[in-house]
Amino acid sequence: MRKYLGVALGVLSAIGGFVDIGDLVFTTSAGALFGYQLIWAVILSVLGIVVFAEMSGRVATVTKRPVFSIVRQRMGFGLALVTLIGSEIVNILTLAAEAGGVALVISLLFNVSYPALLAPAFLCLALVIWITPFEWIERIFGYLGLGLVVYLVAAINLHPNLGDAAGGLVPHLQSSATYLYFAVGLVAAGLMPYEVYFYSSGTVEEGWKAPGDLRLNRINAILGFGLGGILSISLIAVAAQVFHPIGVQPEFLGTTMLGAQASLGTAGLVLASVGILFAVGGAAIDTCFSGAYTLAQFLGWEWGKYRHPQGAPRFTITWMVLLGLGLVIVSTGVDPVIVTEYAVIGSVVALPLTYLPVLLIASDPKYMGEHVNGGFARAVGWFYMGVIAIVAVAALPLLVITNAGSG
Amino acid sequence: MREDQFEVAYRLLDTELIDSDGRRCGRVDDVEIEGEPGSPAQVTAILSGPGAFSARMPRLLRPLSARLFGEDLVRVPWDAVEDIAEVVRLKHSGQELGLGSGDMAAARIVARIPGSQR
Repeated sequence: MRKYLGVALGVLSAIGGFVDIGDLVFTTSAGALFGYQLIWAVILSVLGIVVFAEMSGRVATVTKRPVFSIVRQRMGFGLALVTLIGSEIVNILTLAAEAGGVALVISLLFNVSYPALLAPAFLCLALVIWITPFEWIERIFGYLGLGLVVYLVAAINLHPNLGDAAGGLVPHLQSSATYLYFAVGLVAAGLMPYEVYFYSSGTVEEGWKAPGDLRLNRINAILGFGLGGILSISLIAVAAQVFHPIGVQPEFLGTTMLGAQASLGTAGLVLASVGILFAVGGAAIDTCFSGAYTLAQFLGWEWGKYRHPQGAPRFTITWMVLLGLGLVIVSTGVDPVIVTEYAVIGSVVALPLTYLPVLLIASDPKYMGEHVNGGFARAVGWFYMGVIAIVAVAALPLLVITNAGSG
Repeated sequence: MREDQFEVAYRLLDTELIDSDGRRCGRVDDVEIEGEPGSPAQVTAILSGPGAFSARMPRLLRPLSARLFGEDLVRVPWDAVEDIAEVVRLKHSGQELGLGSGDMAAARIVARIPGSQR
């Protein structure tokens, strides 16, 4: 049965990783500012994350070692340490933003003050992680996060201009720095390293074995992240139809929620809220675990949610400390949406050092045996290393020039 | 040191340590090599723990690392190594070799949280 129903890992990795708070805001802003123009950037990043999620899942299934375990062995101590520190900072910022986002959604829904909800939101997340087995975390947050499918319905219901939308499929550049900032941001948001840290560790948590589960891995990567991509494109389309014509520049999560209401009324708003709540909550758990996985794997500690909390005590304490640090960050009163934007741009530092070792190991027959990358996977992998290099170089200057997209 | 021995030492570094119970219990953070100039050198022990990896960090980060992880350094004698492949397998449990001390301290903290005994 598990073989057929086991797409929850891919769905949570994608819903919580691809369509997290950063993506919700980035796609809605991109659609409002540029209509359908930037759909190609989402497609570029979805294909990239599918390729690298599949590779990292395959490596973890075959060698029993997830991404960060390999980063240190393959890149050496020094580079791995740089990657660890970079990705740990990004993880904590993202965790703060996502968990803050949970509080934000609830405060919008029930009209309660946001700061008062912060501590309860973090406490709830801690309780859920403490009590719930890994597979149920996947199912609850992955499948309830699917409420976001309402954006696909909303986009179709608004009768998009298919000619305009098709134009956005073709990659093209504009001379506007803001346009380039959003293009880079959308690609980076889709490739955030914590997605593969979480996904590859999840395959070990679930006990996937080669060769039987390699097909499951491929299905998870394609279906999960593919779905994430469709939802992102839907978000752009809804914003392109609702906000672009009237010139609204959304900077708030609430605007994203209103997009569903404009098309489908109150039912749309409720479904969107549930979807956003669980997608963002799932992302908070993704990032929290990712932070603990990376540290434990770098240092060689026993790790895993599948272990009894006492079975991997240093891992258990690490995720608790990370959650606490996240609470401290949002309690200072910073806007979670701003934090997430900086986290996305900051993540480009960790991008090349995360994906290069995955590609190298997946292409190395000494590690992978018969499951080594074929010529196609290698070619696509190196193409994306090029994309990642461009994004890594361009991100920071664009952030400064455009003042984080606000022109 | 002969070239193939050097290769062994190089490959060993940063590999994961798995004890006889199948638990992950650290990494090869350093390697102890003995030998005099002109005579063949030999790997005599694996060094693991914050005391070994902190020394490989930039000077600036060492105090932070010592603060966070302590300064334990465990010497695993070469006789205790069962097998070297993509991981290093040990003949004894981590606890017997003294590799589990960080986890034991953490376990005492976790044990105080309600529900940890499930």
